[in-house]
Amino acid sequence: MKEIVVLSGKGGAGKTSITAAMFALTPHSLAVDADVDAADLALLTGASTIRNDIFMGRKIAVVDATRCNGCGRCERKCAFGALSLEGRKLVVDTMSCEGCGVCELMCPRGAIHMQPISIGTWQHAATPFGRLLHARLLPGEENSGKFVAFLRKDGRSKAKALGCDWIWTDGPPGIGCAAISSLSGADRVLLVVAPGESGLHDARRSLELANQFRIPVDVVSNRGKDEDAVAVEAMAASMGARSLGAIPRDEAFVEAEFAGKPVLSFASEDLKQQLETLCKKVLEAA
Amino acid sequence: MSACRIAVLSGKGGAGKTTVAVRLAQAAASSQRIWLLDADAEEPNGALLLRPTLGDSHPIEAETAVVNLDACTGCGECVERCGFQALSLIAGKAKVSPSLCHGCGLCVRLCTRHAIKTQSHPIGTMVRGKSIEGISFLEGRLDVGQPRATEVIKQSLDALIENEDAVVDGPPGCACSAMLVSRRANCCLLVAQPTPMGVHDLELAVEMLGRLSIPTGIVINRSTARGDALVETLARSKGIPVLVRIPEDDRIGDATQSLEGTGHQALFRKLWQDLKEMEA
Repeated sequence: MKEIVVLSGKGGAGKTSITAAMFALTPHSLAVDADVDAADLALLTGASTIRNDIFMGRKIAVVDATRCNGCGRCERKCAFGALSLEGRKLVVDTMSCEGCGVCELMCPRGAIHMQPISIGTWQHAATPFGRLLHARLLPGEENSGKFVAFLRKDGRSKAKALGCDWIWTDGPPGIGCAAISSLSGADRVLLVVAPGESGLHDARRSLELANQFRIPVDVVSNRGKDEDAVAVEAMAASMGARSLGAIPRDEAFVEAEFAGKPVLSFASEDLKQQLETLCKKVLEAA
Repeated sequence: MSACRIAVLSGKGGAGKTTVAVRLAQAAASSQRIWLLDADAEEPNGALLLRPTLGDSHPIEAETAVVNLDACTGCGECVERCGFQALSLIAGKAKVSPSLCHGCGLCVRLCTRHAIKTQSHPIGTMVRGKSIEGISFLEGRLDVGQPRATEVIKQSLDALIENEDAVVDGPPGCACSAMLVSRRANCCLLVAQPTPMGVHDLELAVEMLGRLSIPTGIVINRSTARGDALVETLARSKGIPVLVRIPEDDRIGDATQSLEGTGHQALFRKLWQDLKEMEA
């Protein structure tokens, strides 16, 4: 079983549209939407939920007011500024608390304990193309990296159980904790590059990250003009990635999004063939 | 907070946050002092459109645990108690994975042999600049391979001048980094991509802002009739005003065009005025 992660750096490059098409074109595949704070793959794959669970992703400090005497020792040691004293009353800012447990350790009166909380839900869904695993981070929550790691691990065991040969993972934008978490242990990256200077700038950072992980990368220019495709090819060549050409701007992607389907059912023969070739080349190399 | 601090967010990436933030700052700059903070630390693009003259830069640092191997006895207490799984025992000694460490200091306090301390190390860069319109530009840029974007964002927000207005170009999504930018703002502008995916992610951003109480407006970018209808339905149901609609026009995102050159300066001036009134 091999896992291919679709990244772009810049948001809105077309990761999800391309992932949906690749997923639909790959028999015996499973898809994971690793963009847990803005998961859209279900919107393009006709997903119907078959399992829905809560993810307990972090801990927060909880104060027992009957024991706390407001000494402030914990407040001074909190690295995240999550504790404050209002007079003698200790208040926890649950959005800043990272659940490290330093306050619990520092408290001489045993007035603080760490309590696990939910940071979102995760779903198994059936689609016409195979199983989809996706999640919904509670808006504003942290630890999306941990959530991504959990979802990918679950994806691997589910793929194994279902006898899937391939996992297509729709990655998060950016290069931070969620993107790092989406890469570890992946077999190959498909980097979708948005047109223009910013698309190239952001893709270069993602490529650098994948190179740090020593994961082989295929690069495809999306929606660009000729000069964008040339620049993308030059970037790939200079950074040791393989260039797989360009997918043109095409209204079919917009129609497909409004219809909630992968682009294939709206694509011209030309576009379909381009996507099939892209998929075949990535799978062959993985 | 006395000054106006506008967070530009969208939920969906690629909706046009940076374009709107830069043009909005340019509209503001014609009548007042204004800052533009690029707080999309993972992928900062503001400078590519604003083209400021860049000035000094300095490293952004964060605390990470470091083990003194001579003092470590390999008891494993720190490994077991670390809430971030940032420590492991390798060849009988504790080893820190810097990419997982949050620098909380729990291990430092737990270690009876005093074998662990925290040390600051660079995770990004803060860059300052000035645009020809007089906009004070600030960018927090996360180093590739570093996970802690929120730390970079926190420190760049701290670097803003307290009593001067600022437009803050935020990160995509609606996880902790977008939350951090919203919490430090007193007004939020949501850039809507008028498509099903754009509206789905916009709704998540609205839900995130619902945890705060902050005046919020929507701007529809690359406006289309059927797409706008989706945004407007959401906006109505959430009671958030749609302030302006920006047409599809390549000049708006073209770095060689001034605000006047885009042909839409009136639209961005109106947007700035609307936001100032909402904030007040």
